[in-house]
Amino acid sequence: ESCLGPVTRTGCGALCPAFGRGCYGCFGPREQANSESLGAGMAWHGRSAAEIRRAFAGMNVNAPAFRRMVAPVAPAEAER
Amino acid sequence: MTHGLPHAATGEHTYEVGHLTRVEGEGSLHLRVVDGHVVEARLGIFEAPRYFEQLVLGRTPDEVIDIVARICGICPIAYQMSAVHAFEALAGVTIDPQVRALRRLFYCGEWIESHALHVYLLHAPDFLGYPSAVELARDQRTVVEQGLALKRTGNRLVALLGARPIHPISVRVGGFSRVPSAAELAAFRPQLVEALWQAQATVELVAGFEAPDFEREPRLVSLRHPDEYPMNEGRIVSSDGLDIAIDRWRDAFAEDQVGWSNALQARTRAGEVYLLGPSARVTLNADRLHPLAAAALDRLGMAEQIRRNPYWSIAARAVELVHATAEAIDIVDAYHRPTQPKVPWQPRAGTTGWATEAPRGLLFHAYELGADGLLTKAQIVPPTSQNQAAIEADLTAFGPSVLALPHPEATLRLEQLIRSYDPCISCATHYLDLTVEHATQDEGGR
Repeated sequence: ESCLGPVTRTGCGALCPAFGRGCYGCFGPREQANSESLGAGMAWHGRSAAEIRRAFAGMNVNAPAFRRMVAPVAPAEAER
Repeated sequence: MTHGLPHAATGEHTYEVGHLTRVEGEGSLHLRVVDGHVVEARLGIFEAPRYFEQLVLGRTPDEVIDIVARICGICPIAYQMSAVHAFEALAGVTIDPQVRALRRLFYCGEWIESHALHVYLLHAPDFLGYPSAVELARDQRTVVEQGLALKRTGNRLVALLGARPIHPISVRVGGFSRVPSAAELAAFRPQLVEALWQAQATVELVAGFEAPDFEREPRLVSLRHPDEYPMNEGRIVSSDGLDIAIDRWRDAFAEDQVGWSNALQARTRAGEVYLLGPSARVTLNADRLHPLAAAALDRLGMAEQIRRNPYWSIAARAVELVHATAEAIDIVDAYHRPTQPKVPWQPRAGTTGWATEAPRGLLFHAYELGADGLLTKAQIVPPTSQNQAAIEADLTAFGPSVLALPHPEATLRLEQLIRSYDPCISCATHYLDLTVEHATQDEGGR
């Protein structure tokens, strides 16, 4: 199961892992979140690209550290 | 009969409340009266639409459960319960009996915090003549403190099973991500016993209230279970004989859009209005109440008032507070930790639906899942959407009885009527605001 714990702002007491499930990043990204490294780790553990995108595309998807994992290239740029 | 108020008896008048207070969300009331007759009653819901039914598309069932919890800060469990049961029905999952009991315990926690909030902080000030619970606390501190204590216990129970009191995180298809030990639940028991006393004191408190004399014959709808007070299972029944499977809501009801509301309104397929919630549940399931709650209802002697007078929903909530606290204690006493918190399952393509009893009434979800296990369609029908049309019908029926009162007083009475349904406007738009319009017939005719 995907866990956004390593890139998520602290304050909840790591509730989700303590309850046997992955963090879904509801507190938003921490400072200097290394989302790319976490994404690579997820891939190494067998998560598909779509699963990794969905993990970062939660309620804080518009925070840059999460958004770039969902849409790495802006659609307008991609067309060029 | 009051005299000297010709403005209400003849001509056209409007009564408006631009922002209804002590309701959850943003709404307004608009009542238009011509020659003493209510010609238009609108519960305006202007809270912005929230598009949850689109936000969940392309997601897995467990992701949907995390997302729909965000629809409501008061009743997140209701959204999680309707969703998880719908997904389990589709996948053919059979949950552990102890997990089933824990889900009822979870719902008890939500009913306790939600009902305590409405009875003490939103509704009681209307009966006791205060503009708010803050003013009420100045004179009757112990009453407000009792309500807050009950609410706290409900919230703590939710946190015990769901990791936090709002937007809990433990519900998963197949069970929970974590289940408590028997010792954890046993340690919580003394708080539940105290909550049961507070719930019984709540029944005594509301027994001393006086409500406006307004009665009508409502069409009531709720779940009904062969041997339990309804929460997560049963059939959808009504006071006029409807009896359908829990996933067949769409056979009997349909949603429609009206211009003055950002929430869809539901009616029966025949176009009739109906009412959900504590009064409907208590009326249709009195014989399924916990013995302590049944005894409380007996002592109150108000079953008929609860059924016919919307203001007495406060008595129904008090009875359900007794039920929820008493049942919670029973569940804690019988609990042993299941061997695994959740059973494995495989996603299956298809359509599914389920209804559970949110604190405010029946909450129906329908979903369609694709072959990849991701959501392709969602319909979420909150209780307040379904109650809107019944509230407007009641305003039309009740309006004439307050028109002899001075305009501000009449407006207040109408606002109080709306509060008695405990509308959750955020859920429904997932908005509420009152205007009463009076004009001369001349103006009205233009």
